[in-house]
Amino acid sequence: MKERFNGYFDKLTPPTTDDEFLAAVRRKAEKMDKKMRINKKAIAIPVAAALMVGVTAAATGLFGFNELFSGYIVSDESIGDELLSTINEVKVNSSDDDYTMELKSVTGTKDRVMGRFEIVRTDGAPILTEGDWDITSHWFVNSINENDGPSLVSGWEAQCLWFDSTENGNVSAYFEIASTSYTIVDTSVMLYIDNLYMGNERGDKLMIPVTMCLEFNYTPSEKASVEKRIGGKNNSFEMMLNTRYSDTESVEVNILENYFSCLGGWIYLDSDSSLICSDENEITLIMDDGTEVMCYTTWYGKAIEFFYCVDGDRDEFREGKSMSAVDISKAVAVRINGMEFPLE
Amino acid sequence: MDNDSIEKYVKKYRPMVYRLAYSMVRRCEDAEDISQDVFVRLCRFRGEFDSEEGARAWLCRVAINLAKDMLKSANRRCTAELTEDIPAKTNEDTGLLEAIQRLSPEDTAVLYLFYYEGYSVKDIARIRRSTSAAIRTRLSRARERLRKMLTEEDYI
Repeated sequence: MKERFNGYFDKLTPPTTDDEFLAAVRRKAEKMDKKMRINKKAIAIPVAAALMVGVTAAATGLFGFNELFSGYIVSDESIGDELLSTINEVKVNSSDDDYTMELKSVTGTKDRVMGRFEIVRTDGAPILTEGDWDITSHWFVNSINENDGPSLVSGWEAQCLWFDSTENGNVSAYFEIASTSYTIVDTSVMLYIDNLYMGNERGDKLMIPVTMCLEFNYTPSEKASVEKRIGGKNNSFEMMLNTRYSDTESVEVNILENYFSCLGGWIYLDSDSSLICSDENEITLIMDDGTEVMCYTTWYGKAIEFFYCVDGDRDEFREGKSMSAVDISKAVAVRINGMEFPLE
Repeated sequence: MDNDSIEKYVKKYRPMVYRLAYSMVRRCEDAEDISQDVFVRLCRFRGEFDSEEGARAWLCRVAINLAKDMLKSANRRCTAELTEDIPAKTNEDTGLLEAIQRLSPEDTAVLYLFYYEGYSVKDIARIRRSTSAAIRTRLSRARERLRKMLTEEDYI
């Protein structure tokens, strides 16, 4: 089988020559450079204009706890204050006055930041009509560290951003940015959106030609990544994992610190999520109305993404079919391999 | 990273990045797109790799992350037909191709790293930021599923 498997990949060769490929890479890199230069100009906006942006943001509630973090499961305002301190200098630039971005939530650690923002019409009208929409955009993430100068994307290991629509017809976007070093700390994070493309099952297509930039300064606080725990430092939880893995990988149990925190459709861990997301673990969310949602989890670094398991067949999800994101804000507990952990 | 280094890495690792991306996204143009993005990130990389192996592992990790991003995107979720861009030439290849495509992207990537690139379970765990146990389990199940599918189709 190995020979046949390898034979299959032997036949798989890139469609372009190395020279063509390098040219394409350089074009992409230059395009990013160009955007960075535009970005640097945008940062140098007059103080008065910056203040105006700040005032506008404050007027729309961008800095308020409830507005910023209502999307969180967190209800403890003392923790929220800590969270609030992790971001400041929120700025929004839009090429079209009809559209703006609202930062809804941010959390993370010193090498990873994640959160959610919404793209809304300034007149409050919905962008999208009812129904399921697929949304995409040209986008990229940038950062500037004042100490290092415009180092921008240096050391950024991974970035991802995916879109969804909200009940009131706005465009919602989750982002996650990881760094190979700690370059995110005290760093100005910028999220660029260049045109929005939308389509639905009815065949409707919509393109909004708008360029927007959301910028905020990010500094993780100690509590930023632990706003929600499952059982806290729960010994029984650790024991469960120990039991499960001690026969083969006992040493790896030690890296798990049992921290979970919740953000939108994600549960975030400050240790290696693969222990949790192993195929061997059955994970069920218990919702506030008592319903139980058996989930298939995927993981991305230290975050777990939950999907409904509609028909109970986990294999279906491995094939990437019929996945539907779970709103974990309504979860009150998580059951892992029969053991239940309340969400505080 | 300077141009000479980028060229060196492209010549040496581009096929690996492309195949790894393809093993997950299964479309030539997407795999090429991901490969480009991986090397754009390499252009931006200002750190230093500990070793050649470190650079190779970094490229694998970024390729996997970008492929996962692409698979997560709304557009990808609703388009799953994979009938073109296939390097199959014979009936036997077609059987293998169909079997591979029935595996999850993650399983295929792990099989690819293990069989084709010759990475150990421990190395794959490091690349995937996973555990050896999880990779071993995934590898074993993927292998078994592939074997079963090929047996059912009388291709093995």
